[in-house]
Parts: sequence; C-alpha cells; structure tokens
Amino acid sequence: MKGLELLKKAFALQPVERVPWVPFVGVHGGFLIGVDAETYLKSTDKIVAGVSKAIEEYNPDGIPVIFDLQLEAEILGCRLQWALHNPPAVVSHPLAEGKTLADLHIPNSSEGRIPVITEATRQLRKKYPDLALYGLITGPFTLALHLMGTDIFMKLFEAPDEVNEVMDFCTRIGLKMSEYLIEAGCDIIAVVDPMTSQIDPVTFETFVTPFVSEIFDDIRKKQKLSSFFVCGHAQQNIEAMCDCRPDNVSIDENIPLDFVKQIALKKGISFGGNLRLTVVLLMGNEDDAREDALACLDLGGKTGFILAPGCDLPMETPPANIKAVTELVHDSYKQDVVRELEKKESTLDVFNMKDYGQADKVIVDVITLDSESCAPCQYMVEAVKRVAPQFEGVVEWREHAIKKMDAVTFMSSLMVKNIPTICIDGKIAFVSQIPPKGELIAAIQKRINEKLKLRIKSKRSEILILGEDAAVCREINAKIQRAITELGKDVEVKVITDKPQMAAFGVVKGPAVVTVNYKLKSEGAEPSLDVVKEWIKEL
Amino acid sequence: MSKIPFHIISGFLGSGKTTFLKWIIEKFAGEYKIGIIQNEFAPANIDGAELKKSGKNFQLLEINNGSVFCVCLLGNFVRSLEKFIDKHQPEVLIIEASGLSDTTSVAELISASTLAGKIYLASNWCIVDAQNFSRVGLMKQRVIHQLRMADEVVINKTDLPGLDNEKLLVEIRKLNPFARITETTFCKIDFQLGNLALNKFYFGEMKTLPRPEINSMVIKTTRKIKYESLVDFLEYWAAKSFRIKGFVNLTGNTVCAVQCVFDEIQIQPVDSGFFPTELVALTENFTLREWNKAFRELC
Repeated sequence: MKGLELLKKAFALQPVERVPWVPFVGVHGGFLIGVDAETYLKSTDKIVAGVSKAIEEYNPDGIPVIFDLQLEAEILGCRLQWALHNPPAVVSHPLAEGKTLADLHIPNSSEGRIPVITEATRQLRKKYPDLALYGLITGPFTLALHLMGTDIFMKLFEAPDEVNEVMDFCTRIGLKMSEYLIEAGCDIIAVVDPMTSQIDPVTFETFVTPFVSEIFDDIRKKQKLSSFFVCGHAQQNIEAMCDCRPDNVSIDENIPLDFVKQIALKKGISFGGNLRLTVVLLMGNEDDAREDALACLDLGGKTGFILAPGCDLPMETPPANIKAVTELVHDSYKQDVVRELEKKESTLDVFNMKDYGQADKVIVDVITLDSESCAPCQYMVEAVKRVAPQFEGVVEWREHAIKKMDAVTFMSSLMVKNIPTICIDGKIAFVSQIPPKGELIAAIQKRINEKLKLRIKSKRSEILILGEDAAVCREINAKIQRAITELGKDVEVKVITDKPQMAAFGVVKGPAVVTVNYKLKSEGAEPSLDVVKEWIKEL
Repeated sequence: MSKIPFHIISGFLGSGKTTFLKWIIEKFAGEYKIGIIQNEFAPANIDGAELKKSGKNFQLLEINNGSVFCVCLLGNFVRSLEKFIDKHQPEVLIIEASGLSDTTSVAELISASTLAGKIYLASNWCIVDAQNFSRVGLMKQRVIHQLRMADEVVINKTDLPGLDNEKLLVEIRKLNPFARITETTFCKIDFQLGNLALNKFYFGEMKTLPRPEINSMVIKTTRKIKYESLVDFLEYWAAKSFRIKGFVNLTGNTVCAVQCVFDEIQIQPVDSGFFPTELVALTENFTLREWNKAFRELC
C-alpha cells in the first residue's frame, strides 16, 4: 500500500497490515547530503535533495518537508543564532524588547524562508505523489514564547489578557502558514508546540486550547489531516491536547506510549511516537534501535498508531540506526526475531564454546527462528539437509530454533547475532543469506581438510635407544630402522648415551628402548584448565 | 585523566542560580580550574556577561544555541561540552541549567554518551525562589520536575517579608522527601566540588577526589514495576552503588521516591505526577547497560 494511503487509514483508526513509519527528518537531511544546518534550511534544492535521500534510505510512509520552529519567528523579527549541526535558536524576543503587537504583521507567502519551504514542498509533491508530506508549523504557544521570551510564564499569571492577545496573533500566523503549506501540497499539517510541556492542564486549557483548536478545525475544513506534536514532559496535558480536535497526537519518550494510546483511541484520534532520540537513535547502536522500535510497535499496535521518533532527529543520527528501524517496520519476520531474542536474552547462562567443534565429525549448526514458520529459515535448513549426506557420515547437522531457550543460549554462546545463520564447527559461516549448494559444500570440505591436516600434523613418534655401549645401540638401531622401513612409518630414532639423561627415564643400566607418542592437543588457542585436566587423565 | 565531577544547578527563572554560581566562583576559582556551562533561555548572554564581570578565572561555555529544554536539541550539547573539556581540562564542571531544562535528560546524556568516560554527575541542585514559588503556581510543571530530581534544594530569598517558609518547606518535602533542603539569602550555601556520598568514603579534599572509575547513570522509562520487584532490584544494586535516587512509577499508579546510600534503602510514596520513572545511580561497579537491563526485566 502507498504511504499516504496507509497513513490515512491509520489516521482513520482502521486496522493496518503494517504500522506506518514517519521519520522526522529535519536538518538530518542536510547530514545525509553533507551540508550544514544553515545551508540546508536556507536552500530549496538542498532540502529537496536531503528529503529525497532520506526517502530513498528510510523508505518512509510520510516525511516532514522541514522541521524548523524558528521560521515564523525569524520573519517576525526574532534574531536567530545559526549553527552548523542544529536548527537555529531564537536569541531575541521582540515583544520583550520594546516592540508591541501593532509593530508585527502576519507574514505573506513570499516573506523570509517561506518560499524556500513551499517551493521544496511543490517539488517533493511532484516527485513523490504517493508519500504523505507533513507540513510543520510553529505552535502558537511556542511562537508566543519566541516573541515574548520567558516573560510569558510570569505574564500567564500577571497579565493574562496580554498573553491571550499574543496567542491570538500567533494563531492567525498558524492559520496562514498551514494555508501556504497546504497550497504547496502538504497532506498533513503538524502543529508543533513543544513549549506546552512546561505548563499544567489548567493553563493549557486556558491559554492554548481555544487557539490551537481553531487551527485544527481550519485544517479539517480544508480537508487535510492534522497532528499535534509535543515533546518533553507533557503527559499531564495529553487529554487536553486530544480535546483540541487534532486528527493525531505525537509525543516523545517522556510519555508512555500506552498512556497516550489509551486516551487518544478513547477520544477517537490516532497517535504517534516515540522512538528515543538521543540515548537510542543518536548514541545507541542498531540493536538498541531495533529493540526500541519493537517496543513501540508492540505497544502502539496496528490501529491508529504511527511509528515516529519523539521529535526532530538530531542532525548526526547514524543512518544505520534509522535504517534498522525501517527494516524492522517492513519485515514482520525481523520483528519476531527481535521479540524472541529480547524475551530470552535476559536469563542467559552462556556456554563455554571454546572447544566446540574439536570432535572428529564436522558439525553444522543452523540457527533459526523456527524453520517451520519462517521461510528464510526453512530454505537455509533445507540447503544444509540436502548437502550433509554427500559427506557420508562425516558431517552432522542440527537446527537450533530460538523459540526454545537452550537454542537462544547456544546462539549467544556462538556470538551469532542474525537469523538464520549457519555455523560450521562453531564458526559463523553464512549469515542471513542462503548459500548456494556449491559454496556450502566448499565451506564444509574446507573444514574437513583442516581437520585432516590437523590430525596428520598432530601425530609424531620417536624411539629412544638408551645405552652406554655405542656398539650395542647401533645394533638395536639397525633393527628398528628395518622395522620402520618394512612398516612404512615415519618415526624418528634417537640414541642417548649420557648417564644422567638415561636416569631421567628411570634407566639405570642399558640398553633400553623407549617409545614416545607425541600428540598435538591444541594449537593457536589457550586451553582451559578443565580441558588440560582431561588431557592429563589420558596420560 | 580522572573523571570530572559535574554539577547541575537548576531552578526557575530568576530564582538566583547565577548568584549561586557567582558565589561558587568567588570561593573556588582561585584554587581550581572551574568550567561553567550556561544554558539560559533568557535574552542571550546577559548572565554570561554578569559572570565575566567577577574578574575571577574560570572557563565559560554558553549554549544559547538551542536551549537544553527538549531532547531534540541535546545531541549538540554533548559535542560542545566534549570540545570544551578537551580544550580547558577543567577540574570541576557546573551547568547552570535554564529554568526550562529537563535536568534528567542532561544527566542521562552524561551517562549514555561518550561524555561518560570523562565526567560523572556529582550533584544536582535546585534553587527555589521563596517569594515566587507560589506565584509560578500555574506553570510550575518544570519546576516540580527539577525539584524532584535535585539532591540539594536551596530556598533562596527567605529574608523577604510576608513569606510562609514552613508551608513552602512542607510542599517541597512532599515532592522530594530525600533532598537536603537549605534556606538562605543571596544563595550562600556550603557547596562542595566533589560528591557528598563519595566524600564519605574517599578522604582528602578535592585534588584527590575525582575517582577514575565513578560512573553516574540514569534509568528513564515509562514502564511500571511492582513494589516487590523494586525492593529486590534496589537490594541488589544498592549494595553496589554509592548512591541511587529518583522516582519510580509502580503498578497501580503509586509513585515512590527512592534513596539508597550503599545498602541503606529508603522508599517513600509521594504524590503522583505525570513523570516517567527516573533513577540515577553513582557507582563504580556496574555499567548502564547492565543496570538498565536488570530494571527492564522486572517491569
């Protein structure tokens, strides 16, 4: 199903086959194409290139054109401090510095960076007709904070009318901005109002609800979809947010997804979130990303849920982490694997596998989710099953389906990370891909040859002739040499005439003959104490 | 290089954070290399300029570029701070977190990022403006959060007339039963550059204090845990830590404040608020990954 269609279905609370995925790519798009944040946010071409690259890499169902909550503020006279790796920051607040509302105006569509964004939207619309394009506008409360500075918090208390006036002004701007973005081709308008996380529900209902509700109603009138983004500790306001009549609320890691799910679904709207931005996506690895994504998918469910990061992706988020999420979203089988592993990893008592694969036979282990229910696993098992008999009993194979606990332990002990995987004598040989028959045979044969070489190398014998009388020793040596020749053996013969050396073998009086069998027990590895004990017992 | 103690000073706008900082600089700047990080949402650089006027020697990192109020903007913070540390090699770091900052996120960043190898969270202060605390009533969501996570609460400006400090004290205790609360005027408080819990076990003053293996770490989760499991969890991990503290959301919607100093465990129910479970540990015996995993398994 096409991304936009899938999102519409989720927004309409219809069950979906697969959860829609919307990576909030903002300046991260710049990172993908190698330009800094400032250059990126000021250029239509760069934005189009960055978003296109993100679409190509992350296979999303929807994507924001841009994530920049300073765009409106800049036009209204807030000074911006630009940065290379971040969206800019607002560092001056006109209404706190002598300006009044009368000095400000509602931006028209050609002001500031609005044309950059609307043009990027048009181009992306044309290029990706089936993908949902999110147009983001600065929420009225956050914009009011940009204009008034932190005075707004005291004024909520001391001068509520003044705050209301500014909120109303910011709402007019929100309405206009959403109009520009819808005209340019956006499907979903997201009102992004992170600063509302700073206030309590009563303040929210008094100062935010009446204003944002107007914006959401207007978007609905224009027959487009809307979303209310918030980040930070906004759990107290979720219900109030839903009551503002958006089509969707989207939250970050500070709020439990199941909490939002419960309220949103009860109110008849969809919800999204809340992959962990910094600790997981930015600083974690692919396993962390998968685990977190799975937790979200499992909590969110397949009705009315949209998987997304908690907020704007940090610029330098490793693409591999986001790709790991993409893979997981699109592959329910991968989800099963991560789920199984997470369930069981915890109580693992890892086997000591140092000496695995030292037996005479070659052991082929196939680690699977379960070859009966997972197609790639089944093919891998079959490949091994077909090949093994050709070695006439030298090769033994086993399947380890990680739905069983001991298989998980086994898998972790061999340090196998992906499924399905083939190990030959405990060494990872084929990961995920089903090997062609020839390659599999060659790999097993190689191991057999290695073992054979080892066996040949491992045997060396000596015969020692001990005696003080050189003539007697020569005589014995001649006999031994003849025996060796007749048997075709490779044995070294040494003569020892030194008395103290003879005594070392317990021989007081020669001649004596000692046979010595050397056996190579390990090579290139440090044997464990237990293993050494076993060897000693054999002596 | 041994790890640098990192202190957070939070508090609502105008509560006296900068005054407190100035006082710390006055007292310690001659003796130690101090690094100050300022993150103020207020008009740029005002506080920075104030501090510089003191004429004392310290290094200042200003993060105006994106206030640390939202997780989206924290990534860059790590990069800037790392550079700052490498350049100036401070012996102690203090962040003046804006009144809108999420101090747990800051602590979490320190414990999860590459910064963990260089610094540890030594203390978390919250300055409360005695006069304005009740007035920020409508929007004290963030103040409450900062208060919860503080080890040290300073009630400032208690000398102003007409204040009911007792009532304020009760209110703060309800939010954070374990923090040490100090009342003061002009933010004159006994500030230690190391960590209190550590000081008890490592004698000697500052120079020998920053221990190489100390890690601070944060668990933040929206999952809930059973009371019995929490007790098991704390019994196991407290013995391995200098200190564990924070708030835990229990199944059945109770919220508990938790404080463990070595194996002495205190758990106390508090008014529930809409916050995730947040636990901070100071230890030299385990990693964040282990700790996090152990907690998750019990949820």
